[in-house]
Amino acid sequence: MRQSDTLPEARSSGAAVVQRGFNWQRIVLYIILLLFAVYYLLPLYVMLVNSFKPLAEIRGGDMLALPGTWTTAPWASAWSTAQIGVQATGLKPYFINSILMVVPAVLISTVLGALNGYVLTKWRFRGHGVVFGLLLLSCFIPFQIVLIPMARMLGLLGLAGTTWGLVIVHVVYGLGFTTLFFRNYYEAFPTELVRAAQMDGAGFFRIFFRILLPSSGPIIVVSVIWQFTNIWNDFLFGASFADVDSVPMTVALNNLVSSSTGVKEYNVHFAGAVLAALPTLIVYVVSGRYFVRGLMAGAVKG
Amino acid sequence: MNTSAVPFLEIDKLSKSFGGVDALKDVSIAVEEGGFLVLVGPSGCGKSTLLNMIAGFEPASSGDIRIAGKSIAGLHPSRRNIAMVFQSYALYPNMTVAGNIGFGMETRGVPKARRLERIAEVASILQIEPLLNRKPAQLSGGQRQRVAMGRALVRDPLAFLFDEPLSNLDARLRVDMRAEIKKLHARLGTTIVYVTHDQIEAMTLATKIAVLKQGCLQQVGTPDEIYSRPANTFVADFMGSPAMNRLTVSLEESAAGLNLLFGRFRLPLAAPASALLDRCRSGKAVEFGIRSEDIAQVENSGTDRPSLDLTVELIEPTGSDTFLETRDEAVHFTARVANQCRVRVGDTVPLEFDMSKAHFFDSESGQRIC
Repeated sequence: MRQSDTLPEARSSGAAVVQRGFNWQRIVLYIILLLFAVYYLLPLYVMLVNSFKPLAEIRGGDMLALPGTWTTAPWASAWSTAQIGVQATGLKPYFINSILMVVPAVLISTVLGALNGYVLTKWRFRGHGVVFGLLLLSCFIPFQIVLIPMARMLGLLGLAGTTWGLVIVHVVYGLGFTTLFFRNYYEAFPTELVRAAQMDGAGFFRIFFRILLPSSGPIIVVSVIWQFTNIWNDFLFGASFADVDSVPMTVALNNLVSSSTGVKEYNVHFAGAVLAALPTLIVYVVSGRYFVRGLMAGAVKG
Repeated sequence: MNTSAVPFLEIDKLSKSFGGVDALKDVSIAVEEGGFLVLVGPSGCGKSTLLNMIAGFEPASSGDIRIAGKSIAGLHPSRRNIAMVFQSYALYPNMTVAGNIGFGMETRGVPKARRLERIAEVASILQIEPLLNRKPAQLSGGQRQRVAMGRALVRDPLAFLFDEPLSNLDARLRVDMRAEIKKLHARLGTTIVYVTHDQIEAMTLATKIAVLKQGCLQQVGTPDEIYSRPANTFVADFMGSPAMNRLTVSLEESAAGLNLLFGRFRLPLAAPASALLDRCRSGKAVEFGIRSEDIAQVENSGTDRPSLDLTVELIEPTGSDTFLETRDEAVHFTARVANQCRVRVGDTVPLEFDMSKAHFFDSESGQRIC
């Protein structure tokens, strides 16, 4: 962000480096970067390669080799026939469970976070700073601390073991973050616009939906990516609060991998793991470039 | 001062304090219907706070605001029937120009056909018809300014508020838009309250100027009253460019009236006001002020105006006029002379003083004596 402010000398020397082309510093730099990239990509490679091999080939030993005979059977098995828990349903129903949990949880926490941010910046009340501070604090409470009180609360609400119970847990936990995102974003949003809309006779919700929300694209993307990734990847709440028919993908994957009957079908496990990671991967690829932009928008003024 | 006109917008003993700090102290101003009130003062003087209180964004700590005799102090901004043009224009970035202008009618449930009719009317007044389908980001500064005015205009309000509307424009455009606002006011005849820190804007636009300093009203009057009879040294310094020449002088009674003594100079003043004679008799020094245009080159020695021989330190030609800055030790004057004057730096020239335009202020309080 600040690079454009560098001194003229620094800029011209930078240009000189480019003109000279390759020098040894640059070569070393690229080698190091390449090594790190390989290091990070290797597990993904292993997962993908082995998910397309018959089990016999994996037992043969070479994890890094490409498949001798390509097969999609492990993927089909992981999706619809693998033994998870007591039944041979594959990951499919759990994938649906996760979707049913993630979509409402992300939407509700994003909308509530946006409303919080709007109130905390444009409809300030006495003690708004304290309220914001408390919401921020909720970002730092470790999950484990609230497990038992949360279980009790869900029981009292009659939502224990349901998908909606999980939605509530994730909304409550995500609210601190989404509020932080939207508050910082709206802090830089010109108050004169809100005043102009007030003069035009628009009320609280009309100003929110007609003036603020249409200008909130980047921060909505940030909030959605952040919440989607966190909620989709959550294991602890899923393992603690889900019942047989609301178990999310992460927990099901664990059950698949750690089931101890029969042979370990590594190729099916690898395929299942990729399936579990796929939605977050897609979200990042589709909207990732807005992510950093949106994160910076609230933090850096001008 | 404009006692004949019925007050339309009345600001009555208005005060505002933010956490113990007074932003506005006991300010009372009245404007007649169709008047153009300009609130002027340096930054932090409370002029924007006052405007926001008229708009309804800031509640008053005490005092009242009335329009046509009815108090609006407790009303929500949308119920005051006032429209405002904001400093940043505050155009809704996601709506088209037509959407921006029509938004107020939309929230008030005006039928679409009527809305479009009004938008077209306003667009033709402001000559922005070709822009109606554009977004604010696609407009230039001057165009945005027009759209912001259109949004105010379409409401057909009791009064317009302008918050430094020209401060974001470049110098050339500012002059053009200033003239347009004046024409618009003449055409619509709606009461306007206008905030600026630019004294030229204040002088050119206003039917009434209110000068504020640190939340206190210094003077209210027509531009001419403010310029030719400033109530104190602050107003005298703030209004007019270059600033009024001011220096502390001692007084001496003479046969013809009074003599002003400063440096090695003696400037006679015929027929002084009695208030000034009283000062002289009590032996107090006073602040003498005279505007640069009231000091001129002596052309023929036939006039009875007193003159002084002053040494030119700096010459500033502006095209239409030339300003001569003279200095003699601590005595410093700026004179406005004709453009074709043949004076060089270092010359000593006789300059005559139009003492009928002289201003005198108390040297301690700064208040006008006469």
